[in-house]
Amino acid sequence: MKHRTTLAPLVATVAMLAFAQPAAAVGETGSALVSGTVIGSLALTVPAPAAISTMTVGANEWAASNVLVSDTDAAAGWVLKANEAAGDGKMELLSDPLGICAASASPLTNAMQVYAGDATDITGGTVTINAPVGSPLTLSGTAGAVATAGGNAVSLATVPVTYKQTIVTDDNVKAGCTYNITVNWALSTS
Amino acid sequence: MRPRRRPITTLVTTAALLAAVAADTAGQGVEVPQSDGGLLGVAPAREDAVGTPPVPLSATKVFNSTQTTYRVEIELSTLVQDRSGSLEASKYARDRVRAEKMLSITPDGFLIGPGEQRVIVSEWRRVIPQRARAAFIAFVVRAVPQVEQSDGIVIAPTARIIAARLLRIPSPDKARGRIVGFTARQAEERVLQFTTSVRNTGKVHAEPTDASFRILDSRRREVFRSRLPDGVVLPRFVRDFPITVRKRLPAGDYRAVTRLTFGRSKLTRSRRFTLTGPNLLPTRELEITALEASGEEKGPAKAVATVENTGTADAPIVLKAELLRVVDGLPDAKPLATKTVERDGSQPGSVQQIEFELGELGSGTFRVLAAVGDGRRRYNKFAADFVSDAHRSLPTRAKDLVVDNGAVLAIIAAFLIALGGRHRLARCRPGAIGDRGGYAPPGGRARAGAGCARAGPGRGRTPRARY
Repeated sequence: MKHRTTLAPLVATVAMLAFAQPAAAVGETGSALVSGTVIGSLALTVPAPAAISTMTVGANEWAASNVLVSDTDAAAGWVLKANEAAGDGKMELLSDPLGICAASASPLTNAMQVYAGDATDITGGTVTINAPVGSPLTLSGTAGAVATAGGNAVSLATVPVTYKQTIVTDDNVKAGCTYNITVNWALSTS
Repeated sequence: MRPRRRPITTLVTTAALLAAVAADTAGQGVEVPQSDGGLLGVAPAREDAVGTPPVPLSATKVFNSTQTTYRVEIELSTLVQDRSGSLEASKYARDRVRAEKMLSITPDGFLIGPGEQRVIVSEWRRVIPQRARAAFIAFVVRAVPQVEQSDGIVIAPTARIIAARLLRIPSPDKARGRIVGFTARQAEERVLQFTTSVRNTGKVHAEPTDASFRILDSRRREVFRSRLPDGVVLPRFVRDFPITVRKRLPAGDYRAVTRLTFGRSKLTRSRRFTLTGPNLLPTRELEITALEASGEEKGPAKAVATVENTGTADAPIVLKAELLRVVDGLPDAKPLATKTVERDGSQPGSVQQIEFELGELGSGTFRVLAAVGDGRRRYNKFAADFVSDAHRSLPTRAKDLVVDNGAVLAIIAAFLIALGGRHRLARCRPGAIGDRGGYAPPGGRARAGAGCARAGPGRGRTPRARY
């Protein structure tokens, strides 16, 4: 049996790399001339709010999502980090519509963890996973790296991420209590 | 069976990205990349400009090709750089104020719907301090999706994209730098990583050029060669340039050489290293794999740490522990007690259980925080929380001892009784093992059989008090 492989993505990628030169930008004013370069764009898809549907006390609960990263700067890499903005990475009770959450812990005992699976970069770049399954990032107020990519290539990568929340008995979480955490995904150039 | 087909989305997305980059090269700013998944982003990601402020900079576009509406706020701060090279925004308020004085932006907040883009106009006003030759500004796009909150446990993501503005006043200044570190480590099994750390000691940013890395064997033959990765280094910061070596190098002695030009500085550094096996460095690595702690009021916290040598070299163990009080789930910043426990070299693969006590407990919840290192480097931390047990008096302890170990005590008692019985019988036989030959008064003669507890008629036991 013969496998046919279309060369189109390869050709497109090679062409893109060939084009990926810094663009000259010139702006003129009456008093000064600025010359230099503007390089690429940096973008990401913020994963839609993920919900943990079951809340079993004494268990680990998971929610999965994808982060799509785009970096059109061929001369620089990127770093994807996560943290809880202004927090310690622990979920807090958001609402108690049924009035049953008085004894529930807020925040939860354990901080949320985030880990990433193998990333796919359709441009052929190499993405390094800094927070793999075996060594997840425990969320805190300080941003920690989840995935990085070196320079010398443009990038359009999908990073599958998983949120893990351990709920212990003392948390006394009940169905109907709404917990919330804001995970801040930061993308920067390097 | 049908031939395997690649998804067409790959081609579409790549082509869209290509279009974006191609537009970028046209010098008219950067177009918005399209993606099936949708993207929220900023362009340009980096602007490297030379000019004399005040002067307008290129327009910055914030684009949204997702299906979600976002509330966007633009924040400015000064750029900082970590060793990986990542350009981040300084978190300090004074740096934000400084950045806002150096750069003005309009608008700095808006809603952006699906498929929309916004243009941000910015002007470089000045440098701070006045004698500075450059300004390094983080252009931070903070976006919060406008979606309804659902029930249950909800993880609400926000996006923060940090674009860099590297602005320089025309001057003959050239960057200067030095190599501040050149290390080798075992990255993975059979994979080596060499890291050249470069500090920018000048006033303007720069990238290393003509950067090479070589490995020479003991006969000075080149066995590996690579180019250092690209990357800008901001003034005052240190950036690591790692090289990963997967090529199989046999056991032996080697020399690694890194060479680069940074601005006006020509830098070289070399180091010798030994491989104990194919691509195997003797690397120290220690890990605390478990930590248990307990204790009772008025007593010390008792902890047992399990430390594993996960490296490929012997390493001394230096365990530093802190005892912290935990209130409302949060540990106090100041430890109640600290302790350092040291053990001599642990061998690769060995596991040691280190017991230690520290501090004095009251009632409540406590945390023992232990960190393991080898005296030069700290490897990992482990924490164990526990609630102190109530203080027990001496009689209570004795009672608990009996209750907890009743069976063991009964066995010991039975054993002692049995041993005592045999001992007495043995002493009744003159010359037998255990017969002490009677009591011998100082200067007197021993009386055979006097040590027997019970003898026949006329051979009563001689009280010790008589002597």
